[in-house]
Amino acid sequence: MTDIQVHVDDSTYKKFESEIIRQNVLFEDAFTDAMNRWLSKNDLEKEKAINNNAYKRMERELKKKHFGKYAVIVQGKLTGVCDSLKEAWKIAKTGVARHYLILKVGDENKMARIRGSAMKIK
Amino acid sequence: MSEIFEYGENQIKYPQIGVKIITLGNEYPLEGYELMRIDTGFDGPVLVPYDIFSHLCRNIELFGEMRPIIEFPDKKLLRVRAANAEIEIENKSYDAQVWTYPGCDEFLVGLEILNKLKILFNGIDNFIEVY
Repeated sequence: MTDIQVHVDDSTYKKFESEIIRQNVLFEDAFTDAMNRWLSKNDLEKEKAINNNAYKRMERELKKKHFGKYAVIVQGKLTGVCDSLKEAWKIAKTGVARHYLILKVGDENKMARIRGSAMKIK
Repeated sequence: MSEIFEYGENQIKYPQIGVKIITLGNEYPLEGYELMRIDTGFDGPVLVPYDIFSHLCRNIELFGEMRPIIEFPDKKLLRVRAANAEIEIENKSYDAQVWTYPGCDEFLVGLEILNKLKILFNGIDNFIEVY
């Protein structure tokens, strides 16, 4: 166990503390859980970047050979190319990763319009 | 086979249809379907609230130029978050994308999906029938 002393934002801490009381959990357990979640999020972002960079490297070849098909990139490697999402899920499910880049080759810069519906940007 | 979705009562003001979204190892909702508003003014696929997308699609999210752009009525352009997903409507499955953006708090089914469906809009009796 490590003892730490930190200075944190008052309002965030008050919300955190009241939630701890409401859920009747130990402060150290809640704090450890929060640290683990943050670390896990960072791992996801790292894997995302690895997959994205891998796609950029193989983009030209994929477009040349597999335009319109689904490509599955896991941990920086092309693990399969297939015709449907169902097949892509099957290929991806064989791996143990945090991020799977499943894309339709050539399907980019799509644009859509929303004409006066209730949608809004906050 | 067809399914009827009523509207005009119980705070369901606009025509809606039942949709299930399936992603890698996730689905929404877990049971049954979510009623999503039919929006012929949106020519994209399916738009979902930001928090739902974050939960459902964070492990398969697209990046960069694969993320689509939405043009809003005020001509503002926004590159949105997106992922590929299976969209299930009336026991049929469609490969499509799910989109969201910060502040989005509504479910919409756009023309990209609607153009694949046969829908009867009965405004007099306030129901939608999906075939």
